[in-house]
Amino acid sequence: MNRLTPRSKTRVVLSAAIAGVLLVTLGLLVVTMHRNGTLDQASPWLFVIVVVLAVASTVLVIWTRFRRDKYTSELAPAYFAAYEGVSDSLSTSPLTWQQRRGVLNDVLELLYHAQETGRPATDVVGDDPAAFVDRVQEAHGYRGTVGFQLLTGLQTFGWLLPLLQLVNWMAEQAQGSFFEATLGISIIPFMVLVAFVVMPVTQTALVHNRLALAMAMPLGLGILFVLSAELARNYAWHLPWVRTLLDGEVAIIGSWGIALLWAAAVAGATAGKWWLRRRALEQV
Amino acid sequence: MPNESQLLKGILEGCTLALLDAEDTYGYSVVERLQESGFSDVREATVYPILKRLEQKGMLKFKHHRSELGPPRKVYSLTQAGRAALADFTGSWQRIKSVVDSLLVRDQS
Repeated sequence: MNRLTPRSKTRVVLSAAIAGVLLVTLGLLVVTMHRNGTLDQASPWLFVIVVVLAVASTVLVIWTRFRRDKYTSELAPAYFAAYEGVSDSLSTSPLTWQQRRGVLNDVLELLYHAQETGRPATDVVGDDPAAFVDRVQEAHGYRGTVGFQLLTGLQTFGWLLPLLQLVNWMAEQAQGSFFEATLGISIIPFMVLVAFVVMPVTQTALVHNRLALAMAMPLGLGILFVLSAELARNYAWHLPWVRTLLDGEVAIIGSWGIALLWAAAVAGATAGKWWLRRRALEQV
Repeated sequence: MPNESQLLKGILEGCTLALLDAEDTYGYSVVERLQESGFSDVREATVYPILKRLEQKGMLKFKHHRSELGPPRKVYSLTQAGRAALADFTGSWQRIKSVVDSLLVRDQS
């Protein structure tokens, strides 16, 4: 069995630790529910799904890291650095997992050939791997237009809210129907900001190595959100809409009908992005 | 010549299609053949995005071949759409070439 690089070891340990914390939390939840006598009311499949996801994600990380390190084991340091540079830039790109894997495999093949023929790694990825990845993204039709960003925001928003409702439902020990689980109304404008502003700005900052902005953006928004909520609570509580916004609860996905409409909207955003990509490809 | 890279970009796309029409081959082999043909400054960093773009447009397809080192290697070949694009490029190139040639000859005389 080949050895893992330090970076791969970190990823494997981190993923195993996250899965471990998740499983321990789940175990504590089961014990608490057993003591409270509420375990019978919870859906057993929910626990099974969490355990399977935790174990499968760790196995997947271990497998991909071993596979990757096996493939890159014969690369000389300069070529490996170029490969890692491309890999890092790709990790924050809008390409799908499958597209990223394809690009990394292609780059690896080109780097091995450059190494064999005695040419520098810069022949393959240029002087700046991030700029190379930008060109590869463009070749896939990703051009970062406003329409594309808005659809990406819609996709993110479409995933985040049902996920939060799921987490709330699980926090309530999965009692009652999923459709009855509620979320604070204030979380909706917060998630709009996260999906349409924080995530695209953070992603762009990460691609261009502006780490300070990437860290400050989510932290700043969180502080601003709490601050404005507290100010509203202290100085504008007499307004009914402020009370509703701050303390109101709503079941966002309240029925199968809404769930289907929600899924259709996310699918529509995905189709819209595909159409924009095709159009961008026709123009280059 | 400041716009040489922009001019090259379009030409390289057509030349890549022409090379792959002649023979199915690996990505790095396309680069080597372009260099041998006279595009001596061309590198993988330029050609790979072109291959990717042609692949995304459905003009290229590929098969995987086993590799001693690393993941399976891609052997690229033209699709019907790729052959049609090559025919378009050839026609456009002939027209542009004849216009430019005639202008250059007029300037020299």
